[in-house]
Amino acid sequence: MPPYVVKDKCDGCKGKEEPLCEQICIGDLMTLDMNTGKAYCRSLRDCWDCMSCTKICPKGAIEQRIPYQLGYHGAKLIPMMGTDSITWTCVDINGKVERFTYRTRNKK
Amino acid sequence: MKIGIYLCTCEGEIEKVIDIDSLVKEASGWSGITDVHKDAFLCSEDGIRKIRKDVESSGLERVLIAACSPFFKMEEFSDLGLNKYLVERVNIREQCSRAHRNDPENATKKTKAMLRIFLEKAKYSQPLQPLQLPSLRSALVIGGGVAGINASIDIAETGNEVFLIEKNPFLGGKVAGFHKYFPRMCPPSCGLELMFSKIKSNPNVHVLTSSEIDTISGSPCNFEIFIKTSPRHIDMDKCVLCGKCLEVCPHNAIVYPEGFSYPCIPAINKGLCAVDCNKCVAVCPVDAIDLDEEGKATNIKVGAIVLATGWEPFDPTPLAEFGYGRLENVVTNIEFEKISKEKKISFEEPKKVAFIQCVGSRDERHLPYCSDVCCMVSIKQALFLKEVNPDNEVYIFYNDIRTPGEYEELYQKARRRGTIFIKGIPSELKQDEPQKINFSVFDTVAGKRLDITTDMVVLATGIKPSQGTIDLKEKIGIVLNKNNFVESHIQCYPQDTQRNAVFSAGCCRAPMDVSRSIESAGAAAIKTLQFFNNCTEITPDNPAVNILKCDVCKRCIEECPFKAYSFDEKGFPKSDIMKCRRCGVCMGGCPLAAISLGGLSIEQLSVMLDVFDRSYLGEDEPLILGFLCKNDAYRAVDDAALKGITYPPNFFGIMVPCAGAVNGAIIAKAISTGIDGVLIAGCPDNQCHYIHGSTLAKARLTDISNKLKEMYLEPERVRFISIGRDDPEKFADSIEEYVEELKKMGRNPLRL
Repeated sequence: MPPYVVKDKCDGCKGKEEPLCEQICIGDLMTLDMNTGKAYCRSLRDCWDCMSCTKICPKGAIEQRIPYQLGYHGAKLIPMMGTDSITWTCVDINGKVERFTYRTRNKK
Repeated sequence: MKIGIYLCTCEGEIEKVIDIDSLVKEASGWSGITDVHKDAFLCSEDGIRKIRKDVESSGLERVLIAACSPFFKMEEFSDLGLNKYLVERVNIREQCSRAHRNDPENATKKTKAMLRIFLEKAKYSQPLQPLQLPSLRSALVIGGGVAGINASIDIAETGNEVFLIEKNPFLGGKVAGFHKYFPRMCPPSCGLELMFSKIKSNPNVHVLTSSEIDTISGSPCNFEIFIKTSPRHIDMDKCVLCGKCLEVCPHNAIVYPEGFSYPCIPAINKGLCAVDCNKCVAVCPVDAIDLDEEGKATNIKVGAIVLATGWEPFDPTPLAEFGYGRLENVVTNIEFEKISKEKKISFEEPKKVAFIQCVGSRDERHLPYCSDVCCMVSIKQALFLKEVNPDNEVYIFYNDIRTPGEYEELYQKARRRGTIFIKGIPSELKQDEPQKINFSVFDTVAGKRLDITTDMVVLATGIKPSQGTIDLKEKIGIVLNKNNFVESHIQCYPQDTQRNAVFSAGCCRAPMDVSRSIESAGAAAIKTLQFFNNCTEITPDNPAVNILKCDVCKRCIEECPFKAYSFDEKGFPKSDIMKCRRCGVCMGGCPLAAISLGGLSIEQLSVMLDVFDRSYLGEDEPLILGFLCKNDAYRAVDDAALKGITYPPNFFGIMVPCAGAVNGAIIAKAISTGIDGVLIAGCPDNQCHYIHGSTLAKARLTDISNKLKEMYLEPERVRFISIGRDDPEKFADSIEEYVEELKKMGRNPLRL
């Protein structure tokens, strides 16, 4: 699921060289475009859909585009990070909304 | 863990609404609770004594005081026999029994929920110890004008060391060059001489002239200042002030002191010398001149800094209509001081002089503000002209004459002596006749146009912040306002700046006359001394970065309103204990919730939400979790109770240092565990005590609202309101509205 950065919301993590999405991406795919000051995914095809970038973005500026095989247009997966939980909102292609909250095992 | 809960009935008042007895019974059954007591007058000597006895005999490790607002009776509850960070105040009076006096059943239920939550918070509290950090009892005063000199004297005379640094070779600033100063029209040499003698006789003052600041490092209590001193080229111990060097110098390279100057030794500006001239060296009878003298670099350590970098006069050249630089005998008010002092023009032969006020001032294109002193300066100069020869004709052209307080007397005197005040600003100044200046002006009071010819025009130009002030922005990181004056909290703390241990005095802060400058210097000196005295005990509630979680995104460094963060040896952000003002904006902004304040951690807030009984009002009532800033919002909510204003018990408030201290992960946890609404209440925009905490909180909440929208939840579930200290009605109305809206929205679907 390639990440899509919403340009209006992204602040380049205050313009520093390594925004949070770049630091956390395990495939070293997210990076900062020096011209626009916004983050982007360097190679959409290589993304393994871990959604770490989506979870960590402090502005909530990253959306995951769910590919045709899994959900098609309109399908969405949105994480919301709590201190020791993640709430996933899942929207399928019919627009049905489901939410799941999981406890994480990190220290609060 | 041994915990004691004390419920006060406030002489029975709280008990009328809240069923304290049932709560005592219930709380006794909670795990970890050693004692639960009810008392009618907990803050009395008897009440405190009882708590202290219990702490000692039962070995209580945490104490909950369920009574009035934590802003009341702070002194009484300050020493209960255990570390004050292990005592939790639960506000069951202002924010429960009084706020919900019309709903006793639900008020009781809310109190139970409050006790439960703050009990959990107390379990995670740490016994923080105040830090001991003595300050160096020395101050640096930057700028040797009248403000800097007086600040130095005031600090030195109370027994503390002062370094006074001045970039010119002499102290005295702009005032030393004046002819007279108002209101008593004395020559400045009189006052300055007294000030200089105090400096000379006080060994605590170290004066560094011809010196500028290179860099400043360190933090409050312990600054390290690197100073560059330019060479004077004249030995201060040898010079006898014979004046021979001044006579022979062909290039005007020698700056010669006046009788009252300090240090009273000339200085040579080598930049103006010719190569191989050496005429001064040859003529000096005591061999005091060394043209090869090198500059010096020194460093000093001080505890606090006073900015007294003063002002510069506004240059009226851009206002071409006034002919400054183009016409002869059009001068500024500062130049007129020099002319009258040095008697360059004799006003004993009668002349016609016109003063034009507000040149470049109160003007959007140049200085948008009023420079406070120019009206008085022109009146002072007009009185001088009339004194030298009553036949001197003096006109003052003005928009408004501003002579506040008793300066009004001088305005009346100027009028009585024959100064003509005309309300109207002249148009283009021309030279139609040799050595005269001609212009027309529309007299708005008389309603007619006048054509005037004068011998001289004095442009009353204003006060502009000096380049020295602007340079300090880079060097110390001080904050300047939009007019480049030092930013201070003008109403309540005018001598403070947005940086701890840095104070300001004189015109670098705002245009002011000599007596106000001296007053402000005294105020800055007092603040400096208070700082030295209070520095020994520092509150331990400063933020700590959990380096296991931190990803070095540097958001905390960026957002800190006081620039207190920098990198430590391991490369992680660390907050300087002395620069930090404990606002918590870093805690609120950290995307990984890796920062916690000493007295309020992310973990505490998280566990508080874990035990929050989301059904305390039953299944049908929506719940609002509120974060109230301690400066305005929390006090306003307390005030609501005092004024008899009630609001629904659906609202549950938690105090935070600043609206900006609320972290998005906590809000996310609140929503994702079924709380229906989250409110952040902060100070109105330009009133936030931590500069932009409120603004940041609003921006962050907007992001969270957007996320809720994507999640197909209602974005209005989270909201920010500005509550000023005197807005309790606004708060109560907002809550009423909020509860109604939440009822329409329905319960939070994430509610289990």
